[in-house]
This record gives sequence, structure tokens and C-alpha cells, in this order.
Amino acid sequence: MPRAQAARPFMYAIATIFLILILSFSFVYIKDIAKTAREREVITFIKSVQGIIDTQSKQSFGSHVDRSIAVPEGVNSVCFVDQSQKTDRFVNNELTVFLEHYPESNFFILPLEDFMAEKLENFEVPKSPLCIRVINGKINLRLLSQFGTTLVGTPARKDEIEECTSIFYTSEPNQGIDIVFLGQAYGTTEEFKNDVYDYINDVFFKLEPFHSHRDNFNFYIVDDFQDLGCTFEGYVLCNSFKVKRLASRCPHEFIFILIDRNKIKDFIMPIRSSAIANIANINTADKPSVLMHEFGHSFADLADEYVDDYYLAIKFDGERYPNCDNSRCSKWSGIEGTDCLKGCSTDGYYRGTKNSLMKSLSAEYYGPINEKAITENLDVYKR
Amino acid sequence: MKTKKLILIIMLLLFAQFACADKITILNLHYDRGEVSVIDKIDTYGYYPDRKIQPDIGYKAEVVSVDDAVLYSFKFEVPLEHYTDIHLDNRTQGGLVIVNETDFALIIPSLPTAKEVNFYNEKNVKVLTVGLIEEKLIPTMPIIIGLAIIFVIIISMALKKRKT
Repeated sequence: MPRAQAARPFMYAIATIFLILILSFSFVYIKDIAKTAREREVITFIKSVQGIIDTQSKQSFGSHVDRSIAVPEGVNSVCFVDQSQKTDRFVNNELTVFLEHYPESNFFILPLEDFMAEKLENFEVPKSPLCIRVINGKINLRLLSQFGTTLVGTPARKDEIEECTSIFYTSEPNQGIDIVFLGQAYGTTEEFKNDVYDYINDVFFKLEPFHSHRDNFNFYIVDDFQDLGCTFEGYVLCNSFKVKRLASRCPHEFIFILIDRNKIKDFIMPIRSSAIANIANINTADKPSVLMHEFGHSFADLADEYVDDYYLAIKFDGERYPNCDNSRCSKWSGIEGTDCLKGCSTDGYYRGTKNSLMKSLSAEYYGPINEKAITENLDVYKR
Repeated sequence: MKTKKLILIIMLLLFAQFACADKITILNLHYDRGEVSVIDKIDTYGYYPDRKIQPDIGYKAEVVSVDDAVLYSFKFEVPLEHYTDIHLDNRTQGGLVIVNETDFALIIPSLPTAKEVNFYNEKNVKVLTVGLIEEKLIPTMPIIIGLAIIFVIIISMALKKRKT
């Protein structure tokens, strides 16, 4: 083989090495340039926010201006924080996770893993944190001049982010029982909030043993009616992944989904509420007590005490439940005010009281057997 | 006394950690007659249930570290039982719908040293493993690929030379 021919593969290899090295270095270099450009863009953004705050702070007291500011690509929200006052930790979970790492900062650009926290001057916020969503690449601010400072707000409620709202708070999430309400088919936040308050005050806490265990519960709402993929084939069934994704914004052991249904529509086409693991799907057109019935299933694994032909089609094991037993009714032999009555989901099992919320939605009590089962689980959370 | 104080501090730290939002992983799973598969997985910031009440018998999930230590574990029931209820015609009716196939989701803490989450059925047989380590494309990747190609060329040249 001629010498020149033998050296050809070697030349190819050298050329390949050079080519690959050039490509690799170019890749890293271009990435660095892009990164630097983005950092510069973020710095410019921070400076322009500080600039408009400063400008407004010099205006006459009480004057306000609405400004839209373009944000760097990839930013999903910004948060203004007043670290001197108590911050609502449920407003933005990502911020809450990072906040303690930046005690000196008061302006956060999210996602924080990609962007940064900064310290701005001359501003106040009506609440801390004030998190503003990016809409079409911009944030909308309403700036109100105060005595030498600027009160930062938003022109509309939709500009603000509140991932989770605590509406009844008694104990730390790790100590209490956390329940989050999600809404479907609601027209306004007000309607949803009103329903939630009605369920909590007029239904949930009206009933024993929950009435005497008020201090064990925390309630939250997620004011975001995004589609949860609910189907209505006989009963309400929502997409578990979508539900959990939304519910994870708040502390939660149990999830109540309120499906706002028109009563007339529901009269023509009735839909059943349902309880599936820790999720209760509630048809708001039904009796409000249906929420407590479903929670009885989820919280204490209680069986239906009414008899329905539906149960004949499945292999139902009543012995598994605290409120159904065989004809001896030994499960509740020591409990006062109980009986042994035929009918607990099927005619083959027995229940302990003539009526209860697990038998009829018209009942206004769970009854001693169900209350005992519920209390046993409540005791797990006793402080 | 010192030990007591230390325990209290550790407990407070633990409580402080659990009381706040955290980095979490939400797993979208599919169950079909005993077979469990993963549909989707997302990492986000938020809360996972405290799981103080767990079933005696059920499936088990174990988050395992890179050195195979169990970091987090809990029991759960696959939601195959759907209680359905309505008050109609002056009486409460409904029933239990039992399905043998369903999609369900679980929220677990996203722990920094976690490698994978293993799922075991009621008989303690492993039915699924889901990797938790983020696959990040590191910037030096082209260099590694380049070096690998060079290595292959050199080897092939050496082999060719040996043949001739």
C-alpha cells in the first residue's frame, strides 16, 4: 500500500476530530452568548421595574398609573414581597420554597430555578406576596404614589396569582386535616366561594363529630376553574391526574370537587355525586348533606346503609365496613342506642340505627356507630 | 436535658419542613387487572398528603435513594371502588361501582437523593418502578459524543491496520 494512501484514514480522523471540537466549542460558546443575552435582558427588566417605581414615587400623593412591562422569555410570573410583614405562604408555592433562602430580596422572577431574586427600593405592597402573572409576555401593574414610595398593585384581579387560598385555618397543615375545595362549571369566584362557605358552616360543622372537632380542620380553595376532565355518565367522575395537579397547590388530605349544576337541568338529567378514594365529587344540585355522606365513605370507609339493587350486581363484603355486620351485630354491641336492623347496602347485612346520614341524605346525624368510626380517625390527628 | 432540647429542635425543623410547600412529583398511573403502568409524571411545587391514615392492606409505594435506602414509603388503595349516591324520589339511592381498570394519580415528595419509586401489590410483589432522576442534557454532551466517535474511529483504524 502506498504511504500516502495509508495515511488517508489518519487524515480523515484528524479532520473529524477538528470538526467535532469546533462544533462542541461553538455549541458551548453560542449557549454562553444566549445565557449572557438573557441575563442582560433580565437585568434590563429589573431596572425598568425599579425605574417606573421610582418615577411614580415622585408624583403627587394619590396619583396612579397603569403600566404594562415586557418580561424576558420564559418568565411565568413575578412576585413583590415585603419581608418585614407576614407573608401568605399559600399564594405561590415555588416562592414559599425559595423565600427563606433569599431573606434580603423583595422581588422574585419565576421560575426561580431559571431566573433570580432581587432587592428593589421605594415600593410597598397591599399584601405580601403580590404575585403577578405574565399575560402575553407582559405584566400589568397599577402604581399608586405614596409619601415617597409607590404602592404596587394590579389593574385587575385576573392579573394576580393566588394558587391557594386558606379560608378556615386552625392548625399547621402537618397537624390538622386539610381539605381543599375545587370548582367546576362555576360562573364566578363569588358563587364558588359562597357555596364553599355554605358547605363548611351550614353542613360540615353542623354535624357531629365534626362540630366538636372544628380545631382539627383546615379548609382551602383553589380559585381556578380549569377543566378537570369530569364525565357525567350516571355519576361524576373526574380525571384524577388533573384533580391532584390542581389540588397539590394547597395542603390536602381530602379533595371536594363542587360541580355547579342547574337544579332544573339536574331534575331532567339527575347525576349522582361520588366518593373515590380521597376525592368527593359533589353535584351541588343535590341535597347539601350529600357532601357529608361522601365524606363518610372517604374519611371513615363507611358503607351505604340504604339497600339498593345496585349492590346485588357486585360481590359486596359488608363485614369489611364498620357500620355493617352480620345478624349478630357484635361490632357495636357495647354502643348505647344501637339496634340490629336488617339492611346495610344489601338485605344480607345489618345496620345499627334506624336512620343515619349513611342511610338517607335527609338524616341530620351520622348516628353513634358512624360517629365512633369517624372519631377513631379524627383521633389520629389529635394534638 | 441537652438531648431533649436537641430532639425538640429536630422535631421543630421537621415540622417546619412538612408545614410548607415543597418540590413534589405527581405520578399519573394506569391500573388494569393487577398490572400498573405509568402514563405521565410531572415535577412541581406544592403539597402532598400527610398520609396519617393508611389502609392495613393495600399497595405500597417506596421512594428509594441512589444507594437503595427507603426514603419515603406509604400504603394506598387503588381507587377501584366508586361510591355513587343521589337523593331521588324522596329516597337516597345509588351504589358501589367496582371497576377493574382505572387511571389514578399519586403525589409524592420530590427528594433530592431519590432514584426511583417502586410499587408493590398486596402480596408484596413489585409491579412497577418509575425512575425519578431528571434526565438533563448537559452542555458538554457534544464533547462526549465527539470523543466517543473519535474513540470508535481510532479503534476501527487500529483493527484495519492489524488486518493489513
